[in-house]
Amino acid sequence: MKISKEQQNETRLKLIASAVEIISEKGFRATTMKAIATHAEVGVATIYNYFPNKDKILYAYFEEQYIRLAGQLDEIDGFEEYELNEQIQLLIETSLDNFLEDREFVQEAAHIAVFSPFTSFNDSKQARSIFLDTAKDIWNKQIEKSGNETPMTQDWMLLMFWEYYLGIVAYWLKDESLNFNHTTQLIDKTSEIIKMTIQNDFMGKFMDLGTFMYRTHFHSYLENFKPKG
Amino acid sequence: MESIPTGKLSRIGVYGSMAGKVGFNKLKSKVTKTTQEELDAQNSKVIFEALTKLRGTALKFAQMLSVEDMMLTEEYKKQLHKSTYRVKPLNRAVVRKTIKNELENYPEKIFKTFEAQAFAAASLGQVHRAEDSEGNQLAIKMQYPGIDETLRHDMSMIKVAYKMIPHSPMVEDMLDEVDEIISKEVDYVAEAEHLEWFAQKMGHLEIVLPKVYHKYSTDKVLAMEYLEGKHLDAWLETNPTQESRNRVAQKLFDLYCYSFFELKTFQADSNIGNYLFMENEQIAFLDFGCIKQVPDTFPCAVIELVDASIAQNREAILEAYISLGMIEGKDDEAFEKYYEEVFIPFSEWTAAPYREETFHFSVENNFASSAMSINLIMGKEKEFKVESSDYVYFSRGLYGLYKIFEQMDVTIELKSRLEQYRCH
Repeated sequence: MKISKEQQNETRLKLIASAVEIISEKGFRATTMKAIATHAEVGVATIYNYFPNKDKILYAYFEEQYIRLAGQLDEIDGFEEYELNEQIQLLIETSLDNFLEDREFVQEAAHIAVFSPFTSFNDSKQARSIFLDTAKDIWNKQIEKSGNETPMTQDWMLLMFWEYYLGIVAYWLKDESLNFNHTTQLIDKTSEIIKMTIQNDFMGKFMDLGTFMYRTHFHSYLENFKPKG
Repeated sequence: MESIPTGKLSRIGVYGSMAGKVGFNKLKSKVTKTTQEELDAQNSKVIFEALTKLRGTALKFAQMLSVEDMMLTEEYKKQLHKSTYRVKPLNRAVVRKTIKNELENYPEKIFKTFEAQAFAAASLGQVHRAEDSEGNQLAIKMQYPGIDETLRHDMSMIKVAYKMIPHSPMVEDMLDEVDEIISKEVDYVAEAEHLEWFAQKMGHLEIVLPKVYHKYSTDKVLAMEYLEGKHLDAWLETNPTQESRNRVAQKLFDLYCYSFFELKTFQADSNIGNYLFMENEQIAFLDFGCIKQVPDTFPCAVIELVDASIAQNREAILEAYISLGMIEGKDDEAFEKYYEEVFIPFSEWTAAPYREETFHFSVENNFASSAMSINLIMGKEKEFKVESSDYVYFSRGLYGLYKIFEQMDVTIELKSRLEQYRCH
């Protein structure tokens, strides 16, 4: 029997939802692939057609989250007229808000994989790139509006933005203030700095300075070691 | 857009640096012999900068001080007064989140339209326009997130900072009340109750009070009917005639009298921004965060003071001040000591508008501010202490109202109004 794409996707989402539920309850280690499959009413062998291991389900959860996030931002009235810092704050707050009902799962995921420095760069790549595509899109529209050129450092700065975002998520996971007000304030303050950094192209200016130092001083210093003659 | 420093540490930082700077300025004056005025000017600038950074509590505090002119030198006053205009709005993402937290959904899901940019600043918050699905025009007042959490901490820090500028025990007592009033102001449920209470009690009078929309209201968000009107400055720019100005001012005074003498409750925060001037000389009251209730006997005592002052009856003036809670009893030493300097001038200030049938208020004759010099004496005397601050608040409310009248340049009837409420 042939299974349609739609059905496939439905099963995939069901597996992710089951994983979220069981992992929130029992923790990542105590959860087996079999338990996830049974909970999702999917054959134990079938689950492996979708995910080779538990880690992959974790990442798939975040991929789904970030796809949803992009759609949510599109729905906000007048989003394009917002200042960059406001857009950054909306991007992050909306993402945190989506995590809210799965907070325990996100906590677990943070420990196990996604936010751990030991995670292989490639595993979280897909989720990260979906998130960063949204961020890049916001940024590019701002660039278009201002008439400036895209800075050379854009990709590198986007990666830094990802690290910043992970930092905020980690802070949020520990935040005990009412309505996570402290996180809101932290984003409010930091997004201002990011806006300034981006709008003034601080990174580009630092690179300029670095290149200048290298060319005029370090490079000529190296010249001394060239074999003479 | 500047954010409010809400974290305890960052706030301590603000106060700390402020205290440091004031201390330094004091030290400097010893060395360079700066005049008191220059020193006041420098100190007030430092304090003001710190206060505006803290927005919330400090802003309210600054506003309250600036409207009443209590015991502050001109320089402090000037700096503090700026705070009313200088507040930066909250970032739109934070606005959205606040609505979601309070009303359980995003503004675009709840309202047909919602303007993310605030159209007015409110004490400890800001106001947004919205329209709901039934077409009701709304003014959504919302609190700065996390502001309630930091209020207490702020006030205790302000009390420390306040010790560094010229003050008296009386001001210190008032700080406790400011503290109390501020805590009340963050409770929008209470404000909605006040609003509805006034609407019920004053509904038969010529006043417009915005309707409360409970389904969009919580203790941190207050949804009210949006009223079309102008604030005082804008209204005056439309060049209303002298007669029209007189009528509107008279209406304002009558409403104040009704609320004070009949309801024994008044708006202690007579801030220009609390009134809206509408079409057909209608007036709207907007803010009910700062309500003061007085004992039943209090309004009569005010009339007794006016009578005694006009009759120049020393014994009766003393009695009236006792009833008003300004002095303890007949053998209160302060009364003897400050009789000429404070008590007589203050009673004369209170009585002056009621001597003739009508009274003219104008910026030139600057009547309201003549209470200032008396206040200054009270504020500077270290031993001056009052039993109850009701009278201080009452005169502050009047002062605010008179200030508005002066700006309007009007002649109104006050004496006959007082007669109307005479106690028997």
